[in-house]
Amino acid sequence: MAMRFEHEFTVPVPIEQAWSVLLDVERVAPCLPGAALEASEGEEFAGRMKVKVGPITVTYRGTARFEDVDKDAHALTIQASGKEARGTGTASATVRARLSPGDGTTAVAVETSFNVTGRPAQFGRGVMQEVGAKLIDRFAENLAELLTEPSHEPAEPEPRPAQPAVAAVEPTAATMEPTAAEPAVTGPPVTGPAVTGPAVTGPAVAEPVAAREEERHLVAVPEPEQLPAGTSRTSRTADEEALDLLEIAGQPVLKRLAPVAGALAALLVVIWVIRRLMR
Amino acid sequence: MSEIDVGVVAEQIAESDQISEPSGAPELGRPRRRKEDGRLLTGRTRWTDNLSRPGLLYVTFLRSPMAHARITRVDVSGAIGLPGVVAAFSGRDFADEQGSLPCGWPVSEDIVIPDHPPMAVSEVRYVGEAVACVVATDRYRAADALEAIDVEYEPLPAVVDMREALSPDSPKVHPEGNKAFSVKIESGDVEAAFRDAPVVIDRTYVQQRLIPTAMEPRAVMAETDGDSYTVWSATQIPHILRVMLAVITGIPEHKIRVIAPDVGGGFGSKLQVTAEEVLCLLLARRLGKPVKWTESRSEGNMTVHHGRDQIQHVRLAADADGRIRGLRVDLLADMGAYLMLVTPGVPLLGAALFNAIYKMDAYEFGCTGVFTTKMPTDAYRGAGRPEATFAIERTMDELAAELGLDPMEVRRRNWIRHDEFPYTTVSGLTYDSGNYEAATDRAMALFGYDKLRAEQADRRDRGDPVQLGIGVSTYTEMCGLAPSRLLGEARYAVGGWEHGSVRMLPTGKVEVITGTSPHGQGHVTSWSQIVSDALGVPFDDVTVLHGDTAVAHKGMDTYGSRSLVVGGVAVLKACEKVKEKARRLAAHLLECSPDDLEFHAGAFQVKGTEQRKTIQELAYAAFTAHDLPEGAEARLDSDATFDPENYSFPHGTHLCAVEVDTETGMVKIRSYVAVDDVGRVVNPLIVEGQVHGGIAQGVAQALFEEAVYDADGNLLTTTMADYLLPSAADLPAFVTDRTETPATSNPLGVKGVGEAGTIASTPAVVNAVVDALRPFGVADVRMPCTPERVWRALEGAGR
Amino acid sequence: MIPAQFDYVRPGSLAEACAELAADEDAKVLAGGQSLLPLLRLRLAYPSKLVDVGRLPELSGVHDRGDHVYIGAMTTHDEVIRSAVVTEGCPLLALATATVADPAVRHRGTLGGSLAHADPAGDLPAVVLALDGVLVAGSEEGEREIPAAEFFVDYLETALRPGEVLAGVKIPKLGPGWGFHYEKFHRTAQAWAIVGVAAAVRRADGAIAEARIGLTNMGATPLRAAAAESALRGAELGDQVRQACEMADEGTSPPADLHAQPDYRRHLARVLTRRAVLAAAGSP
Repeated sequence: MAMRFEHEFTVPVPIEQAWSVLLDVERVAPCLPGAALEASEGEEFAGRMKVKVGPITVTYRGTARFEDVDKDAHALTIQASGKEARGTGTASATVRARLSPGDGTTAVAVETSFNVTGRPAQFGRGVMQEVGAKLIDRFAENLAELLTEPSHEPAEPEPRPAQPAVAAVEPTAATMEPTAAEPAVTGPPVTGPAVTGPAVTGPAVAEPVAAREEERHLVAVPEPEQLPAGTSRTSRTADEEALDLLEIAGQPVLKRLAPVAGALAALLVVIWVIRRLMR
Repeated sequence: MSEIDVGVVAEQIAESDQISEPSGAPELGRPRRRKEDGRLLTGRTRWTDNLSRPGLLYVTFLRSPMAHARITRVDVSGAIGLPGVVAAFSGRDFADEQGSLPCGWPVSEDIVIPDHPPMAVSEVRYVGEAVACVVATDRYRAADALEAIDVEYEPLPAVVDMREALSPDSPKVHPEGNKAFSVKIESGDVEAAFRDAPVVIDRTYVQQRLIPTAMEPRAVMAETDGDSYTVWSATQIPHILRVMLAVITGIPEHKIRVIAPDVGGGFGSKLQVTAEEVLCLLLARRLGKPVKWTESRSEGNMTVHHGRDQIQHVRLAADADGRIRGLRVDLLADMGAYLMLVTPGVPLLGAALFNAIYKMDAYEFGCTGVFTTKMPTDAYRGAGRPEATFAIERTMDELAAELGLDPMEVRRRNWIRHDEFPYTTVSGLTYDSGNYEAATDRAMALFGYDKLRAEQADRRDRGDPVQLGIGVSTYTEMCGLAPSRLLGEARYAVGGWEHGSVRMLPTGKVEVITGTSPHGQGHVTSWSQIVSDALGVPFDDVTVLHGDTAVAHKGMDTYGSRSLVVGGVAVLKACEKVKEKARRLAAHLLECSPDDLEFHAGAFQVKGTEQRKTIQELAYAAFTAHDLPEGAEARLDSDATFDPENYSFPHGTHLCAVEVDTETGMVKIRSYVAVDDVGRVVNPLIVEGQVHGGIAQGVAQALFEEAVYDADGNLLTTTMADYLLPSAADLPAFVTDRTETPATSNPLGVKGVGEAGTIASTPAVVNAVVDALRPFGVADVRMPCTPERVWRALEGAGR
Repeated sequence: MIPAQFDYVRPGSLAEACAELAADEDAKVLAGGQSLLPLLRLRLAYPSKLVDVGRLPELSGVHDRGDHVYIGAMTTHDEVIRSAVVTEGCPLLALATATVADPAVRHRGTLGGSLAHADPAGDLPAVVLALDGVLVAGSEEGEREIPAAEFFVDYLETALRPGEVLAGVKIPKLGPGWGFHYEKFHRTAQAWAIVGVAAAVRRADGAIAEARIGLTNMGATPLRAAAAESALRGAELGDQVRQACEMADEGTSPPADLHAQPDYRRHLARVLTRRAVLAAAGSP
């Protein structure tokens, strides 16, 4: 089951700053909830990710390798793949990210395609698509927030009122092909992957909300009324254990994970690859 | 002395015996309750999964999550050493002995039959293909241990869509390409028929992929005593399986015994030689221990062969009055990843039936079999004939709509009249008998056709949100597979005969051995009725043995509505041989000429006298052999094989009324009438059951069922939450009736009924749905006609 | 398929059950098993331990408590349907429960299990939400009441905390003048709702005085059709109701699956809400 997402957002920091943050694995990795690094060996990096949705639990182990990191173009492409720790299913991802300089800002374009096989891909009733979309969204949101931070030091989680906190990241495209050659089923795009959960506390953000709101790049929003009321994020606390998304935030946020999320384990590992390149 | 003794013994037997009511009225045509049911309904069953052997081990298979991938590494070592795990193997471990699963129907010279290892060795080509297995002391441990096997795949592109598969730049499923075969049949001058035709109907229909869903999942058990092998399997074809297992594994055929114990339905899905059957046998040989595998439902949805999956391009040329000039059919048939037992033959089983009951001078049929990275397709109830019937019956409705004629009127103008039988059709089949007028008239009367049409008009006038649609299906099919000669011409690997044996036991009871392998059809009951009439023995005095190659030594098994037409007749023929032997013995004992004897109510009587010998007395006399005619053997037992000269052609008229909620798209069947002509009826109750179940299964294709793969080849309908089967709650009370036009190709006059309902009902339902929507500008709805599809069709037509 | 290995305990009291759950974050409550066991068999869930609450006396029974009906979490669907207290005190629950799956499931499945599983495609969460039910959670610390509006948090997620067990649900009785209907749209009798609408309607003077509408399978959680509810206030049967129900899908975020795409679900929600409201208002 393949899904493809595009995100575009603009962060109010210069491109070199954003680029360096993007390559700082220890800070970027926790943007993906529920993930943990296990080992890095040679060119390969290994991680795991535990996803819980109600009683459903799927744990993936993944490895990744980079295909291209272009410092001059501020672009990178990563191929990653993971396997279920207890099942036969697999997950793979290709992430293409490109930064473009603005006037003291940086436009970030992330294109993610991932593919999940095995029981999670066969778990019907459409759970997977929706959850996959939400998870990717969450990752992009967290990434946007991270890139926005002025400091390279991890910010201490600090309670904030439940209101729009960071640049709302809009999915610019979301496609999936649940069936072959069947217009009735493949027709409309999936429900907007906007995060609809209650806004939760997150670290303080430097920029005023309104400023960034204007910088949203809305290319296509499947369900206009589904614009996020606010963004929420999970803690970026490093955690050696696989994380239960529910527990990270201390309250139910982003629980809407599906097995699909495992594909993102790969995405996480991707970042470690970059880190290695920097050494 | 012997005479007196025999009489006494026979009397004692008769008195001491349980029921043995004397046979009065003929058994044929009696709605006997099934002998099988008491045991089946009270749980005293012998499903393969119920069976055990001392020291039995359990097998589980690790299955590919990828639709298409190279296997770069399989490491089973993690499983070995886990508690209870006896062994674990990859495909490579069996590469030298597992052979290739057979295709028994190479339909053309140019057919590509790829190697099909039971356990994948280097490449997987559909989700669910076995790549490794675990053998453990219980099934829980076996399942747990699968998680410890490590497989590395190098993904290859999935090939899911048939049309894309045929494009030159498509990824290849097999190195030979994605085209399995192509076949063309032509009869008459098709060009001329279409040239200047006043009306040409051009339609494309999609036969969606279906999952057969027998009540009993598959199960296999195998054991060896070091010399010979026994395989128990939930199969429809123990005899064919035995031959194939011998060919595949090299184990001599006489060292293999195959047993099909109680089998809970098949619908063609158990007409197969499966990877699991081969591998269980090989595992029993490798380990020297009995092993068993039972599939789960979700495993079965992935790996039981699927059915249908064709794209049908149909063009029909007609005159302005609706008379058909010619027909062109182009099929794409999805083979899936491999050719299994009769995979390529399935679409061709319908090749001669697109012209159906209609007269025409020109016909052209083409079919291309296409490989995709999906579960192979193969026989599913009707196998080729439902597809053909759907295409022509839908098209006849479209022709009627085009001409503004009543759909039944168009059919009447084209069908073969009763007085024209026997009739050789444009596709070359000779229909021996039929009476389409009678069945249709009866159905129309039961349905209240005119009244429903009036109500339909009224609802249309009122703009009722709930619209009424009326669907017609006047079908015929081709049963009684089959004349071996014709099967040979069609390149089918085996014959179509059937075998029956009748053993007269000393106490006068009768043991029938049939080569058919019932799995829900009620052969024990029907064969008992045939034998009861033929030999004049009580119905309850007959037992029927089947499904064990050590007991039923010859047989071609059960599929394609063939059992009664071929196997039932073989039993009848064996009874006739018994009677001939008994007549000679009776003449000897009664000291008369065989010609002086008349057989009546189970006894030979000297014409014009009271002197008689019952068949039971004669059985005992043969057993004692104290006084036999010169040269006679000490038995009345007889065998017969029967190979019909022609197929049989059941037909009928099905009418369906649906209510379509145009706001939601929901389709509800309001009434359904089926009048079938299946020839002479042995047991009306069983026929009724077959018709009801058949209609339900056909309705299911029309409205509910579809196996869905995503673009990457993942099967999305692995559970019953997503693969929707209708239950009794979703179906109306069917009104059924019969006309009876005996078949002339067999002495019983029977035609077969196992698939009729499924073949007839699908187009009846879809025609009704389209009929309801036609005023809105809708000309077709793809199956299954789900509420969403109906709603979108209405939205798309702009209402 | 076959579930992976797990431990099984059957505590004798609610407190004991809560202690088991608090001690092991991977432990799961086993109620009627009609949702959990399929997940176990498909190996989509790997609980370390199942805490069987099937025989806890604290979780059983249906009680008429004056202004509300209290239903113990382990009350089976079949018991709900047959309970006179339910059919009189909160008939909408009985109507909807009668549509759940098939008789075999209804004899095993429980109201509490269905609510705690929080499947938005389940029929009962939307009903309890529409009726402003209050869910009672038990833990070692005692009982905690959670309004339905706060209970269903996300897909398969509830406000229950680790160590808490759903003990029962309080359904407020609606006074005279209310009518009820559950409109379930599904393809086969035992199938999940593609969309379901639970409606409670009070009529006065030929118009709708008040309506409460719960939506099944129109988002990650059961939802109230709030916009339609407010538009229905004072609406006269006929065009006004029809227009009000056109807002039934506002604020929803319906899923896409093999049975329906979101736009179709939205359409269904509007049509079915109208039907449910009119049926509840006694004007089909």
